[in-house]
Amino acid sequence: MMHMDYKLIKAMLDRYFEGESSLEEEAHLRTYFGGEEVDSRLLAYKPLFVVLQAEAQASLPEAQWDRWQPSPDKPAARLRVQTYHKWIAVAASVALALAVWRWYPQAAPASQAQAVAVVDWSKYEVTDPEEALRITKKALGRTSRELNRGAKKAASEISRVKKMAKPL
Amino acid sequence: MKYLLSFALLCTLATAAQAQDSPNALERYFSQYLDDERFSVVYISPKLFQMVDRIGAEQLDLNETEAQAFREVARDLRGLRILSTDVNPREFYREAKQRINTKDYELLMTVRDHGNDNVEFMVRENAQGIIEELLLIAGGADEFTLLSFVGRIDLDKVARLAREMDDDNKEE
Repeated sequence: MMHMDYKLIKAMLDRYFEGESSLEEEAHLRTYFGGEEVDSRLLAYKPLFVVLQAEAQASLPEAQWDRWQPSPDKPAARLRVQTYHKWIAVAASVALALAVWRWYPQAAPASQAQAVAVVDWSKYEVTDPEEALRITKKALGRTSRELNRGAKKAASEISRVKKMAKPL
Repeated sequence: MKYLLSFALLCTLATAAQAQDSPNALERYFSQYLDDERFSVVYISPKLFQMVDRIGAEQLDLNETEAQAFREVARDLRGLRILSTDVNPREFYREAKQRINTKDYELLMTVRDHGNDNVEFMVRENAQGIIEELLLIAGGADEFTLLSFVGRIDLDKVARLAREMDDDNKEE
């Protein structure tokens, strides 16, 4: 164990904290603080260098190290690339699905009016033309009546209806 | 290959979800009450509206100008659906207003009287700004009615029909 006097170590420490120390000096410091004979005035710094020393010595356990090494039966590097490919594919699928979803309502608005998917309306269809006509007339009559009622209630609102109807 | 399949599946799901959405929001609302004994449901298919030009004024029990206005509107329709009940009308009116998606339907007009029916007109436009559906929701003390006209709706024509029908009410 190398013994160094206080002044020398203190100077190295100062340079270390200034970020100006050399690699050799840092190694010296780690060795010094790792040793038993630490000057009492410098004891406060000991834990820092003990941790640093431990970090420097840390390495992967043997079993893990092996796993990361490419070998003929375990192409580790290629495995990682494939993982990326998978996620790119998933991301692309999601993006495309979103694109289709956004595009779809604009693409097929004409068919939407006729789309009768949820309910089988034929069950409720009025097949007798006269009855159907009577109902339609009643429904349109009702609509007209309500429109007129609204028109009379507020002339301003019917102007809104007309304004809405104009650009058609 | 697996990803191609999953992509195809995603697409199908996305379009299916979309198809269930906007135009059928009302369908879903309707479907809830179709088998409900308290409601009466009526559907008029495009067939009737296709033959409307061949229907004379006397058959409609209207005068010639009224019949003309009526045909102008009916000709462009592709369907009429009616849902009505006389059980808890005010409650169903309130519920219908909540359930019907205001994202798809634009409120056109509200008519409200004391002691009379509350009526709301709503329209659904397509991407080109053409009205594809006119909705009338009415709820009063006696009856709740929901009328849905589907097709190509020209509000000018509807207003003209309303004016023609109005002359009757004035009893001139």
